[in-house]
Amino acid sequence: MDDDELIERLRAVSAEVDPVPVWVELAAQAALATRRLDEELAELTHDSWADTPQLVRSDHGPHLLSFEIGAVSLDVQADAGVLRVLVAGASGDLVVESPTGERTAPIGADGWVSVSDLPRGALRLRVTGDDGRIVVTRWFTA
Amino acid sequence: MGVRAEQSPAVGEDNAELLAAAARGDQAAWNELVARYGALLWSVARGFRLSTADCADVVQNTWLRLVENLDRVTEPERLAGWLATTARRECLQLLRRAGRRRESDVPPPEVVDDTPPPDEGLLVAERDRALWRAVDQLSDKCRQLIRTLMTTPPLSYLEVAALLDMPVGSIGPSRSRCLEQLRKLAGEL
Repeated sequence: MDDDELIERLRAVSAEVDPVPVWVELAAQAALATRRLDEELAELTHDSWADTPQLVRSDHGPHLLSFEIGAVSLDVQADAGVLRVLVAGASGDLVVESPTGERTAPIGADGWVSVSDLPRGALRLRVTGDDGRIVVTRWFTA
Repeated sequence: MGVRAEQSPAVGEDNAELLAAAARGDQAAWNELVARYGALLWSVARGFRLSTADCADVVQNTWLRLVENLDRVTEPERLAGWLATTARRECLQLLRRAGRRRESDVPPPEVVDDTPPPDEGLLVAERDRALWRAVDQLSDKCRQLIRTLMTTPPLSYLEVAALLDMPVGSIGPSRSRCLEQLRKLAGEL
């Protein structure tokens, strides 16, 4: 068997032994439903984990993320399954979305809102801006 | 074999059509993309020795990012590379998170390698069994390279180089060296 044949053999064996589980494929198909066209996407402007070098281990505090679009900003602190979010430029409810569902919490008068018992995996946040437009953050992992 | 060219223009055009249709909400087009590249994402995640649950998270997050960016894919012929790179980034983030949690003395997450054991009888030939076992015994660098080279659909050398952060000229020589290692581990071949 030459090198090319060996790689081809591995490709075949891998497909047979370790295929993509059906539930993973179904979840992937369902991901299209997360697309909505009428919302503005708030970009990630800061991520404390991305911005500190991997070998610096002194930062045991919460995971800090900031999202922004126009006048709306969301500053997120994630720690031990709890999200605390400071919302500016929006009021009403904060919606925490996961690929399989969502929950809602009221934004306080001071702009703070917290949500506990977060689901596993990716999350995104949705608010209604003061100008009436709906803003959703990029997906992130708390 | 020389350096593989970028994927054929046909794949690019086809991807462009599928992406555009998916962006309009066409579920069948989206499913076709999932069918086309799901195995690729799975093997990228497996290359990091992630558990099934963690691989599933990595794959799902990658698809969510593609949905988020459906209107922004400018080079559809490079979709495979974009997906693989995104998945790799998700893997690194996940491992980093796991490391941090350990650091802060929270119970360690399950970063268990539960890749199906090679001897579960699915493999007909003893030779294939030995081969699959050997892939797992390779050095980390070689395992990732070989895992990346054996994806379905195959990536171009350019994509592999970008993905693993290696000079494209070193892929060929590294491949030979790692396959040599593999042959020794698997016995003859």
